[in-house]
Amino acid sequence: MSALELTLRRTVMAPLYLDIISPDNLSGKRWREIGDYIVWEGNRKVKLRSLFKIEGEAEANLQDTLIEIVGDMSRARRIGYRMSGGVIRVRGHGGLYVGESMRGGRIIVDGDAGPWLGANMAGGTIEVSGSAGDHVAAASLGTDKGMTGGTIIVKGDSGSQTGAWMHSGLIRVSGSSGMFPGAHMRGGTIHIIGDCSGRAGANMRGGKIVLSGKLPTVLPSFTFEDIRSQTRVDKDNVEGPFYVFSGDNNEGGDGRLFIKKASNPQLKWCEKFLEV
Amino acid sequence: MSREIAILNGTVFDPTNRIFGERMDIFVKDGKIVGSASSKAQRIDASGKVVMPGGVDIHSHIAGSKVNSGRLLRPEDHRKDVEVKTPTTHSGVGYSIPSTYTTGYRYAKMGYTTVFEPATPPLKTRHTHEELDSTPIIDKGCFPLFGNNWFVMEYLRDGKVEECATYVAWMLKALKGYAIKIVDPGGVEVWGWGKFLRHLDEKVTHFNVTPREIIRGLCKVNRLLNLPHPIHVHTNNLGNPGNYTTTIETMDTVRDMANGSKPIVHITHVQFTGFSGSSWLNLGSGAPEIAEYVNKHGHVSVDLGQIIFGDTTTMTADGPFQYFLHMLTDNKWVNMDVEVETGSGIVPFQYKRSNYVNAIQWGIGLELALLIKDPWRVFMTTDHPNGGPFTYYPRVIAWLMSRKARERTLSKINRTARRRLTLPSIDREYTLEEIATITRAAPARSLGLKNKGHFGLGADADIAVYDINPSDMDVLRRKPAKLRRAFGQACYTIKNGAVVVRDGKILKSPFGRTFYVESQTKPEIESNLLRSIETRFRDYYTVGIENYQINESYLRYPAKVRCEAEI
Repeated sequence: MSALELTLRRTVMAPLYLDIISPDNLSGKRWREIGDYIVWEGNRKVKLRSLFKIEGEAEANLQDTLIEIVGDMSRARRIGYRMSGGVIRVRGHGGLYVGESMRGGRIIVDGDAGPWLGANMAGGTIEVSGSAGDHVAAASLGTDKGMTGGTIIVKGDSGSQTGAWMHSGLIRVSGSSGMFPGAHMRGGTIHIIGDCSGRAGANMRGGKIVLSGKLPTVLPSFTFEDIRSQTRVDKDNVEGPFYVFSGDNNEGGDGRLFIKKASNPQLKWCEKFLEV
Repeated sequence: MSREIAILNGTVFDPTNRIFGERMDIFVKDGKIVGSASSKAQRIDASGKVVMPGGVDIHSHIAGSKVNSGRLLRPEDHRKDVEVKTPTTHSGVGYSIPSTYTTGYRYAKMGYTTVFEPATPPLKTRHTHEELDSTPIIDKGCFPLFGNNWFVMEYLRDGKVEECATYVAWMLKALKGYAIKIVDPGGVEVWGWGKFLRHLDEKVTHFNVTPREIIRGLCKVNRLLNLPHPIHVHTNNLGNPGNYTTTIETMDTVRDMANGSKPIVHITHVQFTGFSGSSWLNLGSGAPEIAEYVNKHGHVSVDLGQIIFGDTTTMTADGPFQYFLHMLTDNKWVNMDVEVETGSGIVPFQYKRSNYVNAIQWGIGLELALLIKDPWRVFMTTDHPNGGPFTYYPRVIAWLMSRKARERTLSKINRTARRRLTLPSIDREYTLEEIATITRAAPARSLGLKNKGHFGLGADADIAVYDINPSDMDVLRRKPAKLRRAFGQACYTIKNGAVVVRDGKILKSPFGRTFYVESQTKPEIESNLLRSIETRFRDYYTVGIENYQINESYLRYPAKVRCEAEI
């Protein structure tokens, strides 16, 4: 698989709209043609070749297309927008809206990703070696359907509202998470291995949130159900034991919160309900 | 320097002056229609094209606090429709609730030059004017809401019609409003107390007045003040099965006040109040009955409120209906109570072809347009954005002009609805002069705008040129997409004597005027009124009367329409 390599020529200060950069748009295109593509840099239109040194070639077959982006893309937006196949690797930070509305393929970000990572995502895989911002896999503002499929793996921390309005799919965060993971969640699974700042599953109606780290408190609109020794996340067994809560009762929801017992001694009070 | 334009060899449609597709030249000088132009005039070759007066939209929610709340409620509406800045235009967003600049541009691109915002809560009219002032190109105006106003209901309960008229005249002057708008008379107030009004003769809680008395009272007020536009009524029971009877009752309640053949009541977005049946399961079209009434009675005019299948945002001062819609759809909802005056609600909505009720609604609008014989009393609207965005007007025109366009859509709608509608059996196809009537001449006449909607000498030079060859009408009716394109993108739009659009592109964007009415009552009556309402303002309002009024200097280009009050 030969790679199309885009190396950033200069420091970018203004927001950069790179929704053109996806295997769907670039596969089978010659570098000269790619260099002529016009993108917005702030309020100016610029040619792609003025921003990037373009080397290599994109495979004609979408699934074999590999795009490597080298440089700090933290000002960029929408890399991999609506992509359905192939691979994008960002050797640096990823910027905002990485993989928005993505339908298939794979995105690998070696650095951090900004907010709205995989927003409205429907399929494919995103792996981030660093941390991600707020609204990972969330629904765009105003809409009520976030992630509907695919997998997001964040090896660092994630911000608030991770998986908000999520309907299906998997999010795995190795570090800690901000407030409101799984807010308004309807389905799918979120696994946060580190600590969570709180309000997990607010307004959730379905789906599953597994918290292996510490959660300050469970929202009062959740009902304690049981203690389980382990639970399943995708194909893996995660060892517990876990306190299991259901809710959010304010929404008549049937979501499940799995909170690791060992990390959360402050929730010991709920064990008395099992003795009755 | 005088600005002269000569539009040569166009096929002109000017129903007001009984010009129906004649090949002639139109001359413009200093923003007015004139009889001839000098050789220095800018020449526009309109041969093989249709020339009509600029479009007039009588009912389109384009500005005001609820429109802005709708914009805030729906970021997703804007993301899908972004307008990029150009040398002649501001950037902006659509879709169903476009930003102010985009609203002006999009109307102008369709050849529309005058638009009226039909529902502004009096307390928030300052905001409405601010938004209207930042809407370019088009001339505009707004109708303040009176149907649930406490002062109005108190006056009418006590039978003080003249005092009520003085109050309404003062309000229109103070707010720079254009006509009396009545939304769900009494119903919004009653809903504030957790109840619903179902009949015209039910009493409004605490006010002891009925919707019938409010409508009749304000109709008398309208006549006493000699306002240019009749009362603009959104009837009770909107959106309920079987509500067509309420609509006919509302029209009939003012029948005895009719004076000659001039309409004295305008029933707006009549599609939403044209449901027959007793439940959602047996919902049907009440359009034939309403059309029959309108055909027999000259005191009524209506506008369609045609729905367009797709995504939109519903917004109305009819708070109860919006609450119902929110409960029905589980969509997000904004509700607002405006002290003393009215309420409002906003709910996003999606009209679906496959949905039985939506398909029936689509049929009702078109049936009304096709069954009402007099095009001077039925105006084309989508009740933007309630039925659909105004940018879909070309589609409505195509449905009206082409039976084939209707059949195509009919073949895709809910089957049960298709069986129950009368629409498939209607053969009528609108002609170009009828389209010119329902989209410009008739609304302009209904609004009492003497210089709009026609090409008489001295009329405002608001002109639209469309790329339609009238001799090809038979071909166009078979290819409705071409009709849609032609009406969606005017070859030229001329506003106030300046070419603002050429081939669908904005060339310049001057600001239009804001029309408002001043019906001067006798000074002593007005000063008595002011003394009495000053106390009431202190009792009821959280704002002072001084801050309530809007000075003329607050408007960018005010255009006063004077009328003589009989009191």
